[in-house]
Formats: sequence, C-alpha cells, structure tokens
Amino acid sequence: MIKDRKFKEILKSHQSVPIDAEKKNQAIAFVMRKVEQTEFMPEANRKEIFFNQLHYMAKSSFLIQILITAAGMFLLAVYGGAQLQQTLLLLSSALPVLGIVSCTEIQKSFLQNMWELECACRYDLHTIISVRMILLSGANLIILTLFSVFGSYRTQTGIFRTAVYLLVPFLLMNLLFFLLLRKRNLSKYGLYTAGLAATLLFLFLSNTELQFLYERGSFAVWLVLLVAAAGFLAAAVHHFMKSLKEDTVVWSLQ
Amino acid sequence: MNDRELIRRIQSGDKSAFEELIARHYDEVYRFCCYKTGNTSLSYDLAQTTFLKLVRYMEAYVHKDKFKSYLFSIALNVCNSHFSENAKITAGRDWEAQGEVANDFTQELESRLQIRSLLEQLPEKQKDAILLRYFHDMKVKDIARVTGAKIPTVKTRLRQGIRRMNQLISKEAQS
Repeated sequence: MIKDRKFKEILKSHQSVPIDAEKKNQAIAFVMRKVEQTEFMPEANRKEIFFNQLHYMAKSSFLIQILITAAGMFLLAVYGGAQLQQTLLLLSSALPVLGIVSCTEIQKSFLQNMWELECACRYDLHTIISVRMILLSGANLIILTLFSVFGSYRTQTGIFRTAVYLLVPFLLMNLLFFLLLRKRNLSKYGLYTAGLAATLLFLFLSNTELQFLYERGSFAVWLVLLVAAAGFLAAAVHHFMKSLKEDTVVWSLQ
Repeated sequence: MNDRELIRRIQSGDKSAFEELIARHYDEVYRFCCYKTGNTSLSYDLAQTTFLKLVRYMEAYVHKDKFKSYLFSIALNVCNSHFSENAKITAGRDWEAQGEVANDFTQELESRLQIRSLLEQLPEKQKDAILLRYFHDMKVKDIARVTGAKIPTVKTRLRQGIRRMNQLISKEAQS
C-alpha cells in the first residue's frame, strides 16, 4: 500500500497532456466568431441603478421633503413647549404615510394594464419603486434625525425619547411598505397598505388615549421595537440589494 | 489583468477581452476534457463547446467566486451531457498519462501501472474530485462548487478515491 501523501505526489506529477497549437487556435477562432455575433448588454452596477433613478424621480417629491422639514422645524419651534407631544405625534404619523406615495405607482400600473409590459423590462416596476423608496426613505431618515435632534434640544426630553416618537412608526411603516413592495401580486396588498396607513393616521390623530401610548408604555419596549424595526428594515434592504443582481440575471436569461 | 477585470470588460461590450480569457483557460479546460474522456480529438470538441456555452452565459455571469470554478462546472456538464447523449458510442481512447517522472519510485510505478487506467476504474464522481484536486490543483471548496456537492462529500469522495486507487495498485502488485 502506497502512502496517501506519496500517492498524491504521483498523481500531481502525471498531468501533462500535449496540446496541438493549431487546433487550439482554430477552436479559439471559432468561438471568437460566435462572440462577434453576440451582443453583450453593459453590466449595470447597483450604484448606477440608484443614481439613474434619481434622474427619473419627480423633483416635486424632493421639494415636498424639504417643505416638510421646514414646516416641522417651524412647528417644533413655535409649539415646542405645551403642544410638543401633539406636534411630534402629528409628524410621526404623517411622515410614514409619505412612503405610500411610491406604492401608488404600482396601482397605476395595474389600472393602466401596463403590468405585463413592465415585468418584461430589464428592471420591473417593483424593483424601480423599491429603489426609489430606499432613496426617499433615506431622505426621510435624515429629516427625522434632524427633527429628533431639534426636538430634544427644544424640550429637554432627551434625544432617544424623541427619536422613538419619530422613528418607530416611520421604520415600521417603511418596513411594511418595503416588504409588500417585494410581493409580486401587489394589487390587493397595495390597497391594504393604503388602508392600514390611513387607519393608523386616523387613530393617532383622533384618539387621545393612543396619542400618549409612547408616554404610558414602557420606554424599554419601544426601544426594543425601534431596534427590531431598524434591524428588519436593514435586513430587507440588504436582501433587496443582493437580489438586484439576481434580478438582472433572471432578466438576461429570459 | 485578472479574470474579474476581463469579465467586466467583456460585459461592458469589449469583445476582444474574450479572446484573452479563452486563451488563458483553454489548456486547462482541454486537459480536463481529456482526462474525462480519454480521447484527444473529442476533447477539442468538448473544450470548444464549453467556451461556446460560456459565450451564451457570459452576459448572465455574476462574478462571486473564482471564474475557473464556473468554467469547470460548464466543462463538467458538457462532458457529462456528452456521455449521457452518447452512452452507446464510446470514442476510442488515444491518450495515456504522460508526465515528468519525479524519481525512481514513480518511474517504477509508471512501468507497472497507468494512472489513466486506475482513474478509469473509479466511480465517475470520485474520478471528477481527484481530477480537479490533483490534476487541476483546485481547493476542496472550489470542487464542491464545480460538482455541486457539499464540502464533506467532496472530501469523502477524494478519500475514497485515493483509497480505491491504492487498493487497485496493491492488487496489481500482488498479481
């Protein structure tokens, strides 16, 4: 019995096979003729996909974001004292609903019978809306962070408590929208999302008991909720980013 | 320029980079086909088919790991497809193992045994694992990707293959 190590050395030493250079060149030339007949689509990387979408996004959506920031700052500055809770609640309820604006595009696609056509495109509507939503949510997150810092400065309630007020509903709603957006049969889900968002907004604004849910509930619970929502949203976005390449592959093979 | 950059150039529309990519990997793919089939002229055809398939799949290729693993998985599928489609037609074997003889011991072994015939007696999956590991110097995890098996499975195939070849040598020596 030959020892394994020795045997492996023997195997490694028996590996040269002579190659006919002429046949090799003929094969390469043949393959290259095929290459000449093939059209390769330029590879689009993630960064390009995101930057490209910026050009197609309505300028008004960015304008709305700026206006909301300005209005929010103004509200916090004027009513920062006694009516701070209501102001924060109004902002925290209204901001997440902005996310649904992008979902209405999907509804429009169904209503106009453009669905099949859009699915056959390189990036289907779901992907495009998801990309836009990530961009808008990123902008919203900056706004909310500004609000949190500004709010905590105005009222001495502490930056974490203010952040919980603003970020928990925002992150939860964004997570919900984002996950729903990844569903292929969104026609029904889109309506449900819109209904749910409207109901939540209505409840927060009309019910005085619910308005102080944050105050009465344990802060630790809300903190856990904040971390969980942020974690799930980050995971969902990460999953989407990974699938962005795979979507391209699926499209290419169709 | 490494494989990744070449592929990026190809996917961006630079077709000339394809020639460099093929020339770089042709020898290894051809050798692999040769080890698998034992027939040189058939191996030229199979190597060519492998690269034609690569042209078809290149647009969809996403560079994650080694390109060589991806290419060898195509080559392995091409060889397996050829065997399954031509189960009854067996091309004559016209290649036998040749190589630098390391020392007297291996020379002695060479005179009594042919590595090729030893490999022929192994189950196909063990043979693939040994070819990729020792003839193409691939890591176990890369072999797992090429063959679509799990890493422990590949390790087992390698171990069993080596053991089986050793048994065959002992048997040969006794006879």
